[in-house]
Amino acid sequence: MLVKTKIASFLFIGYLLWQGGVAGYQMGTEVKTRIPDLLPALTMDETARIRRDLGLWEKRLHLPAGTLQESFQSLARRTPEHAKIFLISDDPNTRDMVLSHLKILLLPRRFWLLDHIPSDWESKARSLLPSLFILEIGPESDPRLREKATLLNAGKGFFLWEYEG
Amino acid sequence: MPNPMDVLRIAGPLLLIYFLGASILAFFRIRFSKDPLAYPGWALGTGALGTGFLIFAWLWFRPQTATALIPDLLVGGAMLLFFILSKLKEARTRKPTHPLTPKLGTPPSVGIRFERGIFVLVVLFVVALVLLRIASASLEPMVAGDEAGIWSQKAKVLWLSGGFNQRYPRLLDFWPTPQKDYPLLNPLLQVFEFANWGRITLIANRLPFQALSLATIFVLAAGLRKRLRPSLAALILLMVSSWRLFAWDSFEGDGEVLMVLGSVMALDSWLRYRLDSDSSILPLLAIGLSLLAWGKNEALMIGAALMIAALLLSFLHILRKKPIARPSKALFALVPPILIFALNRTVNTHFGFESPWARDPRGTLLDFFVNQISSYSPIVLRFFWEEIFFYAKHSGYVGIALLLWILTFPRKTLGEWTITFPALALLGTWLATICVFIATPAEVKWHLLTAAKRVAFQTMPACALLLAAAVDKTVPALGPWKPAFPPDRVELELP
Repeated sequence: MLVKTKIASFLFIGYLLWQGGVAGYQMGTEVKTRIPDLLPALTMDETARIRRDLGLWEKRLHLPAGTLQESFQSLARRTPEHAKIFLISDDPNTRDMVLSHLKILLLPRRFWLLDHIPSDWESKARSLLPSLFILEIGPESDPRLREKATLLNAGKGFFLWEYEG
Repeated sequence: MPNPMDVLRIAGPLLLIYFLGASILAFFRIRFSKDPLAYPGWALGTGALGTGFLIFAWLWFRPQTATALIPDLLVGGAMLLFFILSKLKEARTRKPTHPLTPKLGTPPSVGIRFERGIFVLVVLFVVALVLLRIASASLEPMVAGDEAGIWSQKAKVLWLSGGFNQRYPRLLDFWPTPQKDYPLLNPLLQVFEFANWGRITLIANRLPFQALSLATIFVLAAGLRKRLRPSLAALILLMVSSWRLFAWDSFEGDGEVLMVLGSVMALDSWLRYRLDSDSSILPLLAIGLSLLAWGKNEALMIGAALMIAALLLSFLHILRKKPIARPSKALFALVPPILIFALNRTVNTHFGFESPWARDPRGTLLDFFVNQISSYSPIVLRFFWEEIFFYAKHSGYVGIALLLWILTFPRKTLGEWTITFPALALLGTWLATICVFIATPAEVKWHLLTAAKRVAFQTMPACALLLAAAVDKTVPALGPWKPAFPPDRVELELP
């Protein structure tokens, strides 16, 4: 019995030294990777943190710098909370990401996803009035919007329009 | 630079939660001196539960204004009330005390003092790492996963609808929100943050859960120290803190952290009650179980596993013709979580929410289980084997280690309820989890990848604590150091 206890104790200590040792090493490495986050975490306000996160997404999606950050800020500043927004992008990855992020960041605004402006867009837009906005993600804007909507803001990779009927 | 008011908004709600918890604990005569290491964790867990109740009551009775004043006054008022009640209770039961000369035991050896030093350093290191994880997480808004899609979305809808009114279910449909039937503690704590900021926040609403991840460290470290030599307790703490999903708890505003803290608090209290004969700890058992019950629906599975374990043990006692354990005071700890289950059920019935699986036209979960058992069992069992129980970064093989230890020392560990009851409940919970994945109406591999690790992880830190208790019970040499007292001198008078 005593031998069994001794062997079991020995194995238990060995197991803890193995797992605890590996854990200690991993956590030491983790500390090193996280220390650079400390300064921005202590100094940035909420908007700056969101812009930073969106900036990382711009790199991942190969979008011009500032596209998502400025789209977000333009929507936040220039659209009311009950706004309805058509989000247009021909790149499915951008569309999914922009929708999933912006709809959460800008709740209670509502978003509709489109890959291009459909021919009957005006009738749909009229039915959603008032407070209808169109966010185009891409280097160029659709010429039909120039005739019918008011440009609120534009950047390197986006155009924000308001449609008033 | 952050606005100085923002610093107040960050610290204010957390301090209110902490001090409400401290007042409730004082009411139950659980003070800082009882266990200075565990106390901050206990206070935060208790305060989160208390704050949840107050915010629930506020939102149920139609709040008119979206201001921090009412919820803060409610929490502050409750804090004051519990503090006064604790003082009154103390004054009523105060007995004249005679000064006691402290009994001096043997001092700890140099080796033990060295081990204690290591333990303190490891706790400080782990706390610092958790704070760093919280700082890293604060750079990312809540925009992905269940954190954003379920919990935060529900909190935002609750805030926008202005309480539990007719708009609430309509807005949950308007911004399609899955799992409407999930327990409410998580969204309620987020609403408390919104009220303090006066708006929907995108990062700060994670703070209560991140604070609870820190609370878990305190409770777990104190529980391990009670059961093992300081150096061994430090190694287990290091191991648990390095697990990926344990780190996740400091990053996300998910429901998992409530389950992890609840299970660790409940098990630690149970062990203190049984092994240290400390019945004053039972309120913490109730609070731990209540955090589970109000945290996630998996608590129903844990509740069922606890019940079956209790029935099985009683049945075994009858078979062995041993007297069944008398109902203990610990049974009272079941009352609050049962009331919370009833509250969840009432709210869901009131709004007509139910699990999406409850009305699957293809059949009930039992139908799915029977139909899929042969085809899904190998996939699910293999996943649990490779990705959970035998995956070091998920669980450090702790479930296997506990099983092997119990099988090596069955008489000492399974002799009575202390270890057997939670061990059986853990086993039952994992078996139930495996059965749920076999019965999934969703695509099984997708469901396993997205949920199995998280669900199975909820009880892993508690499993590590149970392993420590099982070792302590079997090999006292590995247990915590206790001073040896010289025998009392008794003067005998000869006739």
